[in-house]
Amino acid sequence: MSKALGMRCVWGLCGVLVCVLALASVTRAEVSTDVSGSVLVFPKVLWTGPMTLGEPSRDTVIEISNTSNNLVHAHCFYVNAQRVNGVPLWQITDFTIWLTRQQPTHWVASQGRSVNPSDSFGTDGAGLDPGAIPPVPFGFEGELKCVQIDASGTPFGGNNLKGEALIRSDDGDVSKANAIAILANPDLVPGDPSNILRLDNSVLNDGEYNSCPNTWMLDHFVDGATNPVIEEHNEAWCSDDECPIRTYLTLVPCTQDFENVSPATVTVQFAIVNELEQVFSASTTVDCYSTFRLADVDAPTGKCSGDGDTCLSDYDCIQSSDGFCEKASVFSLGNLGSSTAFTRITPVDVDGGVLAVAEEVHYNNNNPDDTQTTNRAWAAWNPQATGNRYDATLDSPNGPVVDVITIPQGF
Amino acid sequence: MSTKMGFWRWALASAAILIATGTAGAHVIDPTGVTTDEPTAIVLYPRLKVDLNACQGGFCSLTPDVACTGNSDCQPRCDGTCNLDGSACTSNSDCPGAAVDTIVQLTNTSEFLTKVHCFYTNTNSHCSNSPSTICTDADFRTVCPLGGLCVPGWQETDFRLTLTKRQPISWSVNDGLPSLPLATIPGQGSPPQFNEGNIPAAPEVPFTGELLCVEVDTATELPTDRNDYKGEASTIKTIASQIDANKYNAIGIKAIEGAQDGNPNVLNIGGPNAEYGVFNDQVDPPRFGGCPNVLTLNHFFDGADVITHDGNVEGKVTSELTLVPCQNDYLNQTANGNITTIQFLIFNEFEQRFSTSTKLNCYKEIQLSDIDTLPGPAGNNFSIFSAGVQGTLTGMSRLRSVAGPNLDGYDGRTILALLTENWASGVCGADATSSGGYPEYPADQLCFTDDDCFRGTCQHAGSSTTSSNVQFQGSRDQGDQIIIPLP
Repeated sequence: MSKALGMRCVWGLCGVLVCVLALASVTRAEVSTDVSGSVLVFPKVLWTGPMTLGEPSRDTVIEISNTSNNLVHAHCFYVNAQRVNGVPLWQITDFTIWLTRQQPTHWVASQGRSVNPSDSFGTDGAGLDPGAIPPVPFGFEGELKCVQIDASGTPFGGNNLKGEALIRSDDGDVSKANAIAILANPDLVPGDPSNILRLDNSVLNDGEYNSCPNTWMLDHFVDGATNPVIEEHNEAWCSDDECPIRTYLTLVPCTQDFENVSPATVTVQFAIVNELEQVFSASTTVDCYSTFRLADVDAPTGKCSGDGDTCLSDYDCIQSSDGFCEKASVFSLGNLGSSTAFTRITPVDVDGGVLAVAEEVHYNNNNPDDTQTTNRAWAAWNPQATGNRYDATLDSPNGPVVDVITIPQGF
Repeated sequence: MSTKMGFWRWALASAAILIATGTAGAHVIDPTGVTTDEPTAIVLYPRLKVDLNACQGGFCSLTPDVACTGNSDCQPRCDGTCNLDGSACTSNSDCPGAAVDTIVQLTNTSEFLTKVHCFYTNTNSHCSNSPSTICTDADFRTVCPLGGLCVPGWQETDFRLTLTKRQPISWSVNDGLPSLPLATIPGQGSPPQFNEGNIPAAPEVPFTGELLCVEVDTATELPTDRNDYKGEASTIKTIASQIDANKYNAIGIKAIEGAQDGNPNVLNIGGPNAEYGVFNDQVDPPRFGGCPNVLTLNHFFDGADVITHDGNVEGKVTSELTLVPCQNDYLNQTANGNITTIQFLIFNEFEQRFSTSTKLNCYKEIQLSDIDTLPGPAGNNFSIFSAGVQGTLTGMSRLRSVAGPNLDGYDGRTILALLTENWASGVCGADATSSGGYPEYPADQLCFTDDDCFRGTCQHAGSSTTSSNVQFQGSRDQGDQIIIPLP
C-alpha cells in the first residue's frame, strides 16, 4: 500500500470516527416517560375477557411511535402474569415490529394486529402494518416490553421509541399512562453477549442501558378517602360517605430473563408520609409482576362497609350490594387521617429495581345490580422517581446491583 | 489531490457508507430542562377546571338538556321530580348534582422546610359587551349579547405556603385551602415545623386556567436553586350517577444549583444566563437547555372509531390540546409578550406527513380538529386531524414553536402542553333497559350523542377523559423568562 493511500485510510477512519461521535448520543442516567428510549416498558396491560357481574371488562390499546427519521425495529415481549391458583404464569410471547420514519402505530391487546394490506381506509388496521402482532388470551394481565433492535435482531441503542397504553372499560371509561422508556448508551450497545442488556449506565458508570430508579415517589389519595367532588357537589351519589378512592400500583422487576423464562423477585419497602408529616412503613415482595391495591400490601382482608362480611376486594362487596371492602391498612384513611399521602417505594439493597405505574379508581355509591356496572372511573399516571439502583447500591456488600434483561438468543 | 481534500472525500464517503449500511443513525438526545419524572423547582399544572353546572346561553353547562335562566336552575332541586335528571324525590338531598372540579396535589420531597410562591391564572374569556359572561371562541355567538366578541383573559392570583419535611398536601381548586394541615399543630421534626400560608379558592367559577409554583427561600422568599417539588392534578366530573376522572403529572422545570443571579424576579430558563434547565454538552458550545424545542405526542385522530374487547366494543374519540407558553410575566400581567407561532408536523400510520400551524398568546385549549378549522364542530371532518381525512386511527404530531429574534438570548417562545382525550361513554341502543339509572350491559356501541348510534338513541350520553403528558425533544439556543413579583 502506498504511503498516500495509507494516509487516506487513516484520515478516512478519523473521519468516520468524527461522524460516529457526532451521531452518538449521551444519555441521561434515568428511565423516563418524557423522552424516547431503546426499551419501552408498558407495566400494565389488561384484557380481562367478558365482564362479570359488577366488574367491567377492560382491554388495552397500545400506541408506539418511531421518533427518528430511520426505519426502526423492535422485539416485543408480552409477559402474561395472570395468576392460576395464586401462581403467576409468567408466560412469554414475543413478536417483532418495524416502524418507518416517524411512523406511529397502534393495536388492541385483545385483537392484536394482522398484516393485511387491504384494510379499509379509516378502520382499525389501516396504515402500514408494523408486523404480525398476536392477540393476548382472555384474562391476560401483565406487561409488554419492546426492545429496539437492528435488522439482524441485535439490540440497538437508538433511543427512538415512545409509547402509551390506554385501558378502556366496556362501559366507556378510559385511563392512560405513558410507557416507561429505558435509554441506551449507544456507544456501548450492543454489549457482549448482545442478548444480555445490562442496566448499568449511571452517573458514576458508563454502562449499556440506564439503571432503573432507586426510589419511586407516589402522591396518592389514601385508601378509602372520600371523593371530595362527589361528596360536596353530588351528595346523592355519596350517601354515608360511600364514594371512596382507591390507588392501585403495578410493579415489575427491572431484571427479566426471557431466555430461560426465569422471573425475578424484588422486595420493596414503602415509606408513607401523610399530610401531618407522620411517617409509616410497609413492605411487599414482587414476584415477576404485581398489581395491587395499596391497602392489600399489609391488609389482605377487610370488611364490607354494608354488612361487615369479610372480603378480599371491593368486588366481593359490590356484587352483593354491600358497599365497599374497607381494610385496616397502613394506607387507609382510618390510619393516615388525611386525604392524601406521599409514598416512597425503594427496593431492599440486595435486590434489583422495579418499574411502576399507578392507577386510581374513583367510586360512587351506584349500587350495581345485574344490569349495572358503572360506578367507577379509573385514572392512570406515571409516578416520579429519584436516584438509580447502580449508584445507590455501589457501597452495598454485594453492590452494585445491576439489573439485566436477557432476551432469547437468535438461532 | 491534497491530503486535506483526500481526508474530506474519504470521510464523507465513509460516513455515507456507514449511514447507508447502518440500521439507523443514533438518535441525539438533547436534554431539556423540563421533566415530569423528577422533583423540580418550578411545577406547572397546565389544565385546571372547575364547573359547578352554571347556566350558559340558556342551558346548564354540564346538563345541557336542562334549560335555565340562572345558575340556581342548574343546582339539584326537588320539584316532585329532580330537576336535572327527572328521578323521583322527596327532598332536595335526594336529587343528584353535577360538577367538575380539580384536586391539586403538591408535595415537598425533601427533608427540609420549603416554601413555594404559586400563581393561579384565570384564563377564562369574557364577552366584550358583557364582562361577567364567560365565553369561548366556539360559543360566543350564542352566549354573548348580540354583537359581542369573546375577549381572551389572563388574570393572575398568587399565594405562598410552606411545606414541612416530605409533606404532601391537596386541595380543591373550587374551595382552596383556608387552613393548611400543620398550621396550628406541629409536625414531627425537631424542632417542629409548621405550615404557613393558605390557598385561595378559584377566583371565578366556571374556571379554566393554570397553576405555576416556584420554590423560594423560606426566609427571603426569593427563588432558590433547590429541586424539591412534585405535583399532580386530578380532574373529577360527577353528573348524577356518571363519574369520570383523569390525572396528570405537573410539568417541572429544574433549577441549576448555584446559578441564581442578582436579579431574583427574573427566572431565566435556559439561554445565556440560565438559572433553570439542564447542562447540554451535545452542542457546540455546550449550554444549558431550557424548555423543549419540540413536543411530540401520540394521539388518536378526531373521530377515530376505536374497536376493542375482541371486537365487541366500539366508540369514538376526540382530543384536546392545552398549550401554554414557557414564558410568563406575572409582574406585568402578560403571559407572552409576543404571540407565538406553533408549527405542527403530523404523521399518520402510512408515514404520510401533513402540517399546519396556529398562534398562541396566553393560553390555548383547543380540540385538535379546530387547529386548522373554525372553532366548534363545523368543518371538523375536513381537518387534517380528522380520522376521516387521515385514514388511520392514530398519528404522531410534532409541535415546534417559532423562536423570536435573538436579541438578548431570551425570546425562545417555547411552549408546554398537555393532551386530553374524550372518549364516548354513552351507550347506543333502543333496547337498553334502564335500571337504577343505568342501561343494560354489555353494550357494543359507545356514543357521545344520538348521531353516533347506528340503532336507537344514545343513553347516558357523555364522555370519559384521560390526560397524558406529552414528550419532549431537544432544547434551543434562546431561553425563556418567567418574571415574578418580589415580596
